[in-house]
Amino acid sequence: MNQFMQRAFLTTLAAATLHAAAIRGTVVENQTGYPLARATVMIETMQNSSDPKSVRTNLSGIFEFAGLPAGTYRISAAKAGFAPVAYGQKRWFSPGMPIALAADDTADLTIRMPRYGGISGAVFDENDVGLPEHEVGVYTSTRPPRLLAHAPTDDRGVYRLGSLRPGKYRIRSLAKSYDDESYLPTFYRDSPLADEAHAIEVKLDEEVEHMDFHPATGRLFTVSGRINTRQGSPVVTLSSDTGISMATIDGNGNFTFKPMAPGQYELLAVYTPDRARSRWAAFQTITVDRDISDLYPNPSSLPTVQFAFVDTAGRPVTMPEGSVMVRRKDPAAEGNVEVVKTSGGITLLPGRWEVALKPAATQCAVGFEPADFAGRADGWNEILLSPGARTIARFVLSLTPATIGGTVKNANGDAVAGVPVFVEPYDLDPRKRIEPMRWASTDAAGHYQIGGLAAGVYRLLASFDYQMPESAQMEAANAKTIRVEDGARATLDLEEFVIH
Amino acid sequence: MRKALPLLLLLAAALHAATLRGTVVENLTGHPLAHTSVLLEPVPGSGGGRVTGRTNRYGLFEFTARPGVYIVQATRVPFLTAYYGQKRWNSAGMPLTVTESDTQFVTIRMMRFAAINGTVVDENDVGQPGFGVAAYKNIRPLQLIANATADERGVYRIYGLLPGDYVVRSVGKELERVGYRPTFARETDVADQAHQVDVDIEEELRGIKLRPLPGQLFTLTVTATPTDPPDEPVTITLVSEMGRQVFKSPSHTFTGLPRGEYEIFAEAPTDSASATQGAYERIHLEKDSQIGMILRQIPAVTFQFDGLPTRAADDGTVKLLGRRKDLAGAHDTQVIALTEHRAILAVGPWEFAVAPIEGYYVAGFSGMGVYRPDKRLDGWNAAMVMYGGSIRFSLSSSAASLHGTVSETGDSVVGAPVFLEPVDLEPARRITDTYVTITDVHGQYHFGSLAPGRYRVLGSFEYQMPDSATMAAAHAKELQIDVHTDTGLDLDLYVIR
Repeated sequence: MNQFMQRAFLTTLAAATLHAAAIRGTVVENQTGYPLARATVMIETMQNSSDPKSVRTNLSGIFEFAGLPAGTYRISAAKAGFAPVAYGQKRWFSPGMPIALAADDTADLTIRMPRYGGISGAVFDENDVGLPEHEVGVYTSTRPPRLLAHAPTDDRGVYRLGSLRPGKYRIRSLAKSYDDESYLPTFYRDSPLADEAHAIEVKLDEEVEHMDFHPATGRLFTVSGRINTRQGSPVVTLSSDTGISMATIDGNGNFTFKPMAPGQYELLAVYTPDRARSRWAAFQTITVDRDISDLYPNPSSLPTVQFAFVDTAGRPVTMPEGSVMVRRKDPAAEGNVEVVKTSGGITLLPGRWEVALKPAATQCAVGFEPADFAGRADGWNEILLSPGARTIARFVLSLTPATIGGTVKNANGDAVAGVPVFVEPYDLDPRKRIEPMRWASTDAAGHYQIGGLAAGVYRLLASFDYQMPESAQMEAANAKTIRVEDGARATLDLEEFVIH
Repeated sequence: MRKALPLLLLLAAALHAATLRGTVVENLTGHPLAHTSVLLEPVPGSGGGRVTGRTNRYGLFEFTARPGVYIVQATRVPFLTAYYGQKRWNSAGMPLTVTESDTQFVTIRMMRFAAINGTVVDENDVGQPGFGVAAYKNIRPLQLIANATADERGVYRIYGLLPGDYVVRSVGKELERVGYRPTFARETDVADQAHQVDVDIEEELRGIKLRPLPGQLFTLTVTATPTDPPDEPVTITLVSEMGRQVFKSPSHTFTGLPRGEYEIFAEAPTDSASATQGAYERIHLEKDSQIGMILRQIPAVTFQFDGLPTRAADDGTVKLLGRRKDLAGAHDTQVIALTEHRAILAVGPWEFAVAPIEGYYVAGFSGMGVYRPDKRLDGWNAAMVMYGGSIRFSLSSSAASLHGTVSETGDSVVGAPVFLEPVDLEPARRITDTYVTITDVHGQYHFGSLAPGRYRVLGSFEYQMPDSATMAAAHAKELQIDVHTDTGLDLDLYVIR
C-alpha cells in the first residue's frame, strides 16, 4: 500500500467511525441480575439476509457491535443452561423487536436471560418413605403422551426434571420391582391412565415443586426368550411408552428383561455390524399381560426400502437427492429425522418408520403406497418394515401444486412488510405434520406467496408475535382457513395479528 | 443382656420356641419401613439358629425362633445397616436374649447416609451447567467416593456418604470455548489447600460452592483394534483419579481432559471360552494425543496354592478374592471362581488375596513377573494381568491363633465384637480394616489362621469396623504373634462413657 492509498484508507475509516451506529449492552441472569459472561449475542440486519454476526459478552456481561451502518437490527442471546432470548420479545419463542438505528445512534440494551423450567418432587411408598432409583418420566401433554425424558430419584426418593421449555407436561413414575413388592407406572396424580393425568404447566424461571407420587403396587411380568447368536451377540431391547430397556443376554443367546409393567411393547434385536457379513436384526410386537418366557425372535437381514416417484398419470418422475426424509417411530421416543438417498435403495432397522417428501415449490405428494390410510400424503407416512423385507415406497406426485397468495395489512389498513405468514395444513393429522410449519415473509408491498401445496384445507396467520405458532395458538389467533384444489392459485388477504 | 447365661437356661431354651416381635422405622421421620430385611444372627453357642424375614407393609416383623441370644440386624436400600441396641451409627448391635416365657417387642431405627449439596458457579456466581463433581475422602492419596453431575442450573448433590471429612472437586470440562481444569472448593488445585467438608450422619450439607479455574484441556483419541478375532465389540475405558468413562466403541475421542495421569483399558470378547482379548496403557497426558491399541488374547490366568491339597482350589476350600485396581481406586471385591485352577480376568492391574483358611496363612506370593518380598502377604497382593501367566500363593500350615475372654467388671460378656488389626500390614493391603469375631455365650473369642506379625486387639460394642486411628485411640492391646503359636489374651470390654 503506498502512502497516498494508506491516507485515503484511514480517512474512510475515520468517516465510518464518525457516522457509524453502535449497539451495546449487558446480558444478565433474569432471576438474580448477575452479569452473564461468555453469553453469545447475535446481530441480524433486517435489510439483507447475510449471515448473522455474533460476539461473546466479557466478564462483566457487556457486549458491543460498533461501526454499524444505519439500519434495522435484531439482537438475540444464547448461553448454556439458559433459554435463548430475542431482544424485545413479548413472550418465550416470539420474534424480537427490531431496533432502528440512524447513522450515529447508539443503542444501550439490557438483555435478561431466563432459565428453563423444572418439575420436582418425590416418589413415596405406602408409608411416605422415599423410594430410591425410581425413574420418573416427563411426557408431552398430547394424546397419546410422548415420553420426552426421564430421571431417577435419589436416595431420598427425590427427582428433578429440568431444562423444560414452557408448556404443558404430564409426568409419570415408571415401573420398578423390589424383592417382594412391585410398583406400576403411575401418572401424576396417582392414576394409571394418561387421560386422568394432570397437565402441569411449566414456565420459564419456575420450578414446579412437590409433584409427589404414591405409585400403585401391582404385578410386573418377566419377559425372556432365546435368540440365535451365530451372527454375533445382539443387543435386545424392549421399547414402550415408558422407555427402552435392554436385556441381559448370556453366551447361549438366552435373554431376560427386568420385570415389565403390563402393556404393548416392541422387541428389537440388533447385531453388531461386521465387515464380512451384512447386518442382521429381529423385530416383533409383544403384548405383556403375563410372564413370557417363550420369545424366539427370528433374525434376518435388515429390511430394504426403494423409493419410486410417479406423477398422477403414472409416469415415472426423477427426484433429486435429498428430497426424502425418514424417521423411526419407536414408542419410547421419536427418532431423529434423516435425509436419505432417493435412488438405489436404503437399509433401515426393522420396525415402524415414517417417510415424507421434503416440501418443494414444484411438486407435492398426493399419494403414498403402501399406506393403510386414506387422506393427505404430504406429511409423514407410516410404513412397517419386517426383517428381511424389501419394500417399495411409492410417492404419487402432483406436478401442479396449489399456491396461496395475498396481502397482509394492519388494523389501520396499511400493508405490512416483512411479516411472517404461517401456513398450517389444517386437515392433516397433527402427528403427521412436517415440522417446522411452512411460512413466507411479505415483501415491501405486503404481498406474500407460498407454493408447492397439496390439495386440502389450510389455516393462515400473519404475525410478528410468534416464531412458530402451535395449533392452539393459531386457533386462539383466529387464523383464516381456506380450501385449495390441485393446481389452484388461491388469494387470501390477511390482517396482521398482534397480541395486546 | 450381656452377661453369660446360666447353663440351665440354655438347655431349657434349646427345646422350645420363642417369639420376637418388633418394628423398623426411619430414624428421621419415625415412618414405618415396609419390606425391610431383618436377620437374627445367633451368638455362637447360644443354641439359636439363624432366622431371616421381612417387615410387612406396616414395618412390623414377627419371628418364631429357638430361645437364645441374637444380634438383630435390619437392611433396606438406601439406609445404613441397623442393629438392635446400637449406640451410634457405627456401633455394633447389642445381643438380645429371647426366652420362651416372654414375648419381646423391639424397635430398630434406620439411619440415612449423608449428602453434600452445592452449586458450580462462574466468576459472577452464575450457576454453570453440566460439570461433573467428585467427592473424595480426605486422606492421602485422595480416595474417590462418589460422583454427581451438576444440572442446568449448576446444582449438584452427592449422596450415599458415610460421616467423615471430604474434599469436593469439579471435574475438567470445556464450556463456551473455555477450558476449566479440575478445581477443589474453594478455588484451588491443591488437595492440601482444599476446603475440608465434614459431614455427620444423616446430614444434608448445603452450599458447597465450586468455582472451576480456567485451564488448558486436551483431547485423547483412542483407537482399539481387536485382532484375535477381529470385529468383536470393543469397550474402551478411560480412567483418571476423577473417575471412569466407558464407551462401547472401537474408537472414541475423549475431550476436555486436564493434564495428568490416565489409564486406558480396551476389552473385547474372543470366540474362545478360555480367553478374552484386551490392551492396557498408562499415559501422562500433556497435549492433544492419539493412541492406537492392538488387542491381544488374554489367556486365562492359572492360580496355584502350594501347601494345600491339590483339589483345594476347586472344592471350595480356597476362596480366592480379586479386585481390579486403577487410578480411580479399587473396584468391588469379587470372589473369583476357578475352573481347573484357571480364571479369565480382564487386562490390567489387579490385587489378589486368599480368604482365611482355618490353620493356614499366606506365606508367599509370586507370578506374572511379580515377586513380593514383603514381610506379610496375608492381605492384598498386586499383579498385572497381561498376555498369560500364573500366580502362586504359598500357604503355610503353621498358622498362629489368639483366644481369650472379654469381661466387664469381672463378668464375661456375651456377643461382644472383638477386633484384631494386623498392625504391620499396610492399611491399603488389608482385606478388611480389622478382623472381627464376636464372643460366644461364655464370653470367649478365637482367631485362627493368623500369619506371624504384630497385632492390636480390642473387645468393644462401640464399633463395627474400627480403623487404625480408632484402635489406637481406644488403647487396643498390641502384641507380637509368632508362627505356629496359640496365644491367650483376656480383654476388658472397652466402653466409651
